[in-house]
Amino acid sequence: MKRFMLAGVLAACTTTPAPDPATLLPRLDVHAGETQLMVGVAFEDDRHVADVDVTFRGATSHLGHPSDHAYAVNVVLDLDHPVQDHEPIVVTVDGIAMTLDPPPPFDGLSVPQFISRSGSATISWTTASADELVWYTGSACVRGGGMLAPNATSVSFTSADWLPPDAGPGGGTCTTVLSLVRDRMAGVDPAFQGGSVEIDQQADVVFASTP
Amino acid sequence: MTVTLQLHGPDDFDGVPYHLQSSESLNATFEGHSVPLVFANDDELFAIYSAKITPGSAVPADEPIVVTFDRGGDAVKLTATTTADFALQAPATSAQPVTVSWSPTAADRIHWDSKSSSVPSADGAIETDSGAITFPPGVLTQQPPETVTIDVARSRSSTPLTGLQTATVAFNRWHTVMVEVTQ
Repeated sequence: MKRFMLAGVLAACTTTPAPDPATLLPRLDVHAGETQLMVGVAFEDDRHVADVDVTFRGATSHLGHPSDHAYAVNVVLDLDHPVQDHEPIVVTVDGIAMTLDPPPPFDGLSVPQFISRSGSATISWTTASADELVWYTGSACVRGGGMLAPNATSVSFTSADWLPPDAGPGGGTCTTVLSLVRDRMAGVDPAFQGGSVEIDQQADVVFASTP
Repeated sequence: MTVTLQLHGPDDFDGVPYHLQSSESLNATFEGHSVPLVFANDDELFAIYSAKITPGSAVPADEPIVVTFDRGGDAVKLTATTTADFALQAPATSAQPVTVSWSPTAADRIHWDSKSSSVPSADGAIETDSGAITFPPGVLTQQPPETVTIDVARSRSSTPLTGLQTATVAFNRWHTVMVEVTQ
């Protein structure tokens, strides 16, 4: 009986047909930081085997294809300068190329050296876009986060924006990294029956959070 | 110059100290000389290995420091590069706010930390190196007059692709000043 079941499994494995690329339903997750670009491609289930390539700034990275039970692949590329507004990122899935249009970077950042949790302060930048925009931070002395209006070129803080840290007593003065993120959603190539594209552009700024 | 490496893992969400196996070793190479990193101590999440390197002369800017993690034929190399030196200036005595300056400026980030009796620990970082920082009242001391020790570090960090789950390298070059804060 056991021998029969094993034979059955082997037969099932060797007769699985290659999927129609249109049914792959790829989910593309692209994260552009100041020094690195991460491109991840996932599929709805691990039955799909697809070849994935990423082309950026003239170089193509072959991500291979997801193996059984690992139905996502990703690549991290080092950057000598941030991904620029509309700079093309081409992701090719089973021969179907999609050109992704990233949000602009946060140019011209102006950040105070100190930000008091009991006062007001502003961080500003010069590039605007209609993308969803959020900020968040967490450090040894403070945490916080929120959404900003599309096309915003600054974020202003009042004492109400700052919360105690998740762990520890907080208080005092500490190094604080605050992330600004532009998030853009898009559709995949119509050759696919479905899927999604999410591209974000992130800048991390530092300051000292003071009481 | 001290080279320190913190190891944790593998694949543990909360992190556990990782200790070198008998087939593994850590070495730091700088200006053609290689020294082993030896176990120093554990902290909550990391096993800490370190080595002291005595350069033949002042540490130049943009010089690579390579830490090789030899895993028995599967070596991983982590490369940090040195930041440029700077001269730190501060008044011997000052009322608040206290200004500390340095030169020359550079593209690397500046980190600082301070210690005093009334504020045992404070630290921060500067997004753009303008060559000076002015500490608002209350940051360095809450009970003047007292002496405050301020470290200013020029830091450069990166997250190289190594095949490890995550790896971060950083180089810090710092100078220290002491200021008698009068009021």
